[in-house]
Amino acid sequence: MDDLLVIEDLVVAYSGPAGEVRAVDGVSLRLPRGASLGLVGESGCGKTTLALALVRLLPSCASILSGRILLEGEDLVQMPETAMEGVRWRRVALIPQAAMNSLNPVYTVGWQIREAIATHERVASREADRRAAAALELVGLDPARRFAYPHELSVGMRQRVVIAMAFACRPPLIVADEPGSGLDAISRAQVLGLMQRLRHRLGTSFVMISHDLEEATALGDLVAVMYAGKVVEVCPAGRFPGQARHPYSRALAAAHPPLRGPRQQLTGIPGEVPRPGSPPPGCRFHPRCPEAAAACRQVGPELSKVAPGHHVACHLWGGEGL
Amino acid sequence: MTQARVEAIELSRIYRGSRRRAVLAVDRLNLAIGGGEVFGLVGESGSGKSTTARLLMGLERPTSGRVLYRGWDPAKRPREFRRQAQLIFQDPYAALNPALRVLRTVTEPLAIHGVGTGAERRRLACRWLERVGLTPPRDYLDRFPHELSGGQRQRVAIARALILEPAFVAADEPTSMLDLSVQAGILNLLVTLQQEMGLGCLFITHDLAVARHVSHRIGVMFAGRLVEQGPAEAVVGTAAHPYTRQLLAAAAVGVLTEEVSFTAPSPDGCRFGPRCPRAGAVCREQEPFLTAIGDGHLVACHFPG
Repeated sequence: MDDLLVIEDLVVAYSGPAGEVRAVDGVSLRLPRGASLGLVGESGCGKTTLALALVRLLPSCASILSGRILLEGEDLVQMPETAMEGVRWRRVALIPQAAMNSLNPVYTVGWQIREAIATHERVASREADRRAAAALELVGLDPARRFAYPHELSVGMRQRVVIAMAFACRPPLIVADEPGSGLDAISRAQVLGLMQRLRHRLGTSFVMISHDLEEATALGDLVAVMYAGKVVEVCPAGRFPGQARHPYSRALAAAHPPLRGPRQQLTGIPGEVPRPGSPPPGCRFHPRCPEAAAACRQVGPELSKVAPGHHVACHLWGGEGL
Repeated sequence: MTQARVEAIELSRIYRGSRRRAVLAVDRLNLAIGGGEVFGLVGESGSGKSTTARLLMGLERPTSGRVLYRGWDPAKRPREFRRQAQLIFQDPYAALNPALRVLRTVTEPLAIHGVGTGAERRRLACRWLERVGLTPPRDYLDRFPHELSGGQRQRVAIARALILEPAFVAADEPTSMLDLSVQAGILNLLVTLQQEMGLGCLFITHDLAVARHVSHRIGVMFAGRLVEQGPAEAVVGTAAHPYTRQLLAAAAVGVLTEEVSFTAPSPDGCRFGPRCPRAGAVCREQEPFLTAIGDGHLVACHFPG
């Protein structure tokens, strides 16, 4: 299969006074060209760190300790920064968290889209302006809005501008970090609908990061669940959350009240995500798991296959192995 | 429903900007919330939900119309009103004073209203920390907000709001900044406390599923107006206003495929008109008013259903 993105045993650590802290601890994922992946988990599970590692925009205190990130077969981990500048935006773009606040308030949005294009491609300024206008049109905004400053736009419109920027150089892969958070229900649904349409029109792949299951499955062909720096379940989006196996995946799904049917007591997940520096021994989820057994306290489970394309790291589901 | 505790009568609030036209944040809103009743207020950003809460809570003066608390004007007796009506805010990171330890934060309302001695306040604080699930309380009393997680902070904010045993609470999107797994715990806590204390509650959210989960009645706001109101199950199950339906579609599927127009509505017509799939000529000429379509179920639409 033609893989757009392959992540192999990636370890990303922050260095602090107490030594190194592994926020992403041995993650392997595979994304075929044109497919999209939803990545879910609570805050503090390493989702954003993974996103930043994919575009090599980690803060200076963080570094990739080991593993490979193969984008179209080329390893981004080993790539010198100068070469990386040619990859960013043209081959992989990032829609950062709280994207609507990531625009520069003192420049017009058109200027900012032009800058993104001109930094990564050699184009005449008139051509960059034409493309900025086209990018805004693509996300359903009036091209005349390129003369507007960010404060003149609503939150939902600003989010669209950032999406327009991510698409400006037509990268095959876009990493979107919680693109719907901070928006109300309707704007969020519209932004997700927009991304879905653009994806079908342009064939772009997404890595869609969210703690919201709906958002993560909205574009996803695949869903990966992350807990405490590790991927604990990967499955086709259609099987999620209905046929999710990992107790953590099922707990996440049960946490949101249903819109229909009888009202029931919400279960939530007791306790908190462990601090990355001191994960519990064995399965990292065992202190919060309602089904934890003795083995879970001692041995960390590996991902194993339970159905085609469906892998779970849980002792309760000892499958056939990878 | 028991006697109305908080009432809004033809309540309006206009913000006047320097360059732009005046903004009608809340427009002739009528609302009554009973004792022991949870009223869920839903709508998109900018629909006037938070302004409504601030008006009902006396944090802002209405441009016209009145707020009544048990039949009297809260603005005339602000101290007595605040003893009985409290707020829980959206952002637990901003709502707590970062320089105060948990003990001081939770007991501050007692100090302001002169309730109890220092030792009694401390005892009460411990009891409330336990009630909101921060156990054992002595582990939390001396902590600063930055030492707490988002969910723990919101629990502290809830303890602070309820320690005076108010009769009414307004909660403005109390879980929208939290992880889903944490949100579930906070929603359960609020529902339990509301039932135990018989609290009247205005619960603001843009998530209809959450509104249905916690509320007895739901009101839907659009552009400063209440466009639909009724028993929670009726509003979610048999939504009659096209805007409520749009909200439901957004909540059920998570993805809206059609684009939404942002044309300005005509001044005399329905505000939702330009975005409405059903809009006809009458919608441009005449604004619809709330009309009963079922038991306590009201909708402001020329073509409901």
